[in-house]
Amino acid sequence: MSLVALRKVCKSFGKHKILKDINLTIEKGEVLSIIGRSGSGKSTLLRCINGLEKIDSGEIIVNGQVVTQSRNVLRKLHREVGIVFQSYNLFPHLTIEENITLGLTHGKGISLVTAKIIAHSSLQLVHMSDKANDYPARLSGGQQQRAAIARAIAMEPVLLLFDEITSALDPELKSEVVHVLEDLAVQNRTMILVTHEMAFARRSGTQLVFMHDGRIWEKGHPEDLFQSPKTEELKLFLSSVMI
Amino acid sequence: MRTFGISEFGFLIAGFRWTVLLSLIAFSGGIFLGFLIALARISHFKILRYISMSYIQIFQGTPLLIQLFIAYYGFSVLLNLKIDAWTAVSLAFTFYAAAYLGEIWRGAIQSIPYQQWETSQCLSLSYYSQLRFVILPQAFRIAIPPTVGFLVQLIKGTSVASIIGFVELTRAGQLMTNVTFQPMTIFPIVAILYFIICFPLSRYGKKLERGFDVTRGITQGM
Amino acid sequence: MNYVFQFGTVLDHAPLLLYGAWSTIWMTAFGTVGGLFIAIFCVFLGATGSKSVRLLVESYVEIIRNTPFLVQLFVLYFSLPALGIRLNADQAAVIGLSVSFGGYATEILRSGIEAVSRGQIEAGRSLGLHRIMIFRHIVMPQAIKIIYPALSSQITILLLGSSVVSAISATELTAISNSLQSQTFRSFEFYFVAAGMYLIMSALLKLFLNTFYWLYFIRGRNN
Repeated sequence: MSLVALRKVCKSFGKHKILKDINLTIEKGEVLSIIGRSGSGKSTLLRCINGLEKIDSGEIIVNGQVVTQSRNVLRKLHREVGIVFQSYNLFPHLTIEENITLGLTHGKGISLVTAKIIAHSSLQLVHMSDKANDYPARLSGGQQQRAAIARAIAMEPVLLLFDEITSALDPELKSEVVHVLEDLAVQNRTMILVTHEMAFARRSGTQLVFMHDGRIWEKGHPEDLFQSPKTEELKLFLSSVMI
Repeated sequence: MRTFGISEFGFLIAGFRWTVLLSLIAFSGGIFLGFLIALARISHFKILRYISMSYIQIFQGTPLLIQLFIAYYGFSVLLNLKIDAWTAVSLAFTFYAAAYLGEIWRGAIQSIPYQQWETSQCLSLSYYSQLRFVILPQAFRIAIPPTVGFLVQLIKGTSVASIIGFVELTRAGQLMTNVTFQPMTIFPIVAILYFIICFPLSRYGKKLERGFDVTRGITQGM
Repeated sequence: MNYVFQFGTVLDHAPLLLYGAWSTIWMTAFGTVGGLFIAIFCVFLGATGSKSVRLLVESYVEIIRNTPFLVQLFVLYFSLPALGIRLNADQAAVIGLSVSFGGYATEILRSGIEAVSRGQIEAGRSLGLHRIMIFRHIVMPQAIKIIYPALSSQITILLLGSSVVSAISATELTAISNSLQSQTFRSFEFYFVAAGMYLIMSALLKLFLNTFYWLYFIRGRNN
């Protein structure tokens, strides 16, 4: 059974249809990249998967559980699905370590001692062990984003979502974050990324989805889509983002 | 007829003590009650929101003096009890403070970006945990400058208690003018005493306020 | 509780209460206008005057903001006679309200003017306008729009604060409620109704000020 399945998912904001009949499956261990122009619905799709947005019709199933807006369902879902945002959203009044242990102690009910151990191993994975006692304000954008990634993976989720996590970073800071993503991909984690990092999508991705105007326009293996795009829209998009 | 001397000044200071004490009682009571009102104001339950909104509108839309009259004269006639001045005054000022502090808290909580709520929700935190560990600590820092500003408003407001005969600084001043017939000296001294405590607090509040929007915090109670 | 409410008594005295409310409204209006004149004058002095003039204005503002209105009133009513200035209660009340409002309004106006970005002033200068023109046509309209909410709040505070003038027996709603309740012993009813009347007055004031804002700034600008 697929880890994530979307069937006939539709969503509108008022009169505007953001998602139109989305059908998609993601298997365990896959690295899915979602690309497309802004306004194509990519972020909304991602946010529907972990219940941050409510779908109007259709069905989303994550790890055997149908995604609804019930509080119990969502709390359980959030323990299994981690998300990293474009604007990092670290808690400014807590140290990096506290940022990570908070979800473990009060979201998953783990003891503080164990939580700290987990936090430190997550920070190691993102190469930021020395920053555990710093406050977010002292870190660069790239470091903050890596800390946010550590916070998400510390929860030991079965699925990781990334919403354009390099878009807000200065060019020279993007690579440190992309390196972390590559490490995670190699570790066989299931990842869904809305991204503009085409090189990463091509190298480390196992599936690529191109969205246009609220629909999945093309999907398949990244190499296939990059080398031989079938539709005009994808051709146009690729030519505008590739150097 | 006495002239204004050390013992008369001492009487003013005694009144000043009660001003400070009343302010502290109302301030601490108001912080506690105001916190509850703020939580009710942002609650998911409509009825809690409406009750707290009405409370705030009533206590911010009627004069403090009338609130005091109702507490002291109104309720004593209603309940056929002689209500002690301290009780009436403490309760009235506490409820008054709670309305303003509640609004301040509400504003502070609502100024926290929605992403903080969203992110903590995505870490599987309960509403209570989100408030306690993520939102309120940040809101607290934001609430401090306007809270200090309100404290000044509260201290000035206690002068109104003199009208029902409660002996705080202003009433002490009135009583002293009655025996010394020197209003020219006494009331300005009373004003100076209020100034001595309010001005440093105002400056401190303004210092804390720096970095925030310019038009915030410049309306002030009389 | 063995109390029997007798709001009928209040109704019997309705005309007097309404007269009190009317007086309150007038006092608020005079206080606002008087205070605004003082404020505009002070802001002008502060902007154009010497350092000592500016200090004087700042002192005025800080004294008003850091002393209770009641004490300011007492100084006007009880302390001034020693200097030969004798005001009656209503005069002292209106002057007191104006002076008090003037202090707060000065600070509000000043910060509004400061908030209009320097860039605007530079732009005006580059268009060849001299200082007064820049002030009148560029700075003032924007400053007014910025401070309008704060100023409206302060006027509402003035309306409610006017109840304090009852302490020197000036004529307004609270003073009238006081005398009525002492005559009839219906303290709860009279003060309760007075509170309600203040609530209505402050709500109407807010409505009036908001409508004015909308009409002048939002609709008026689109013409």
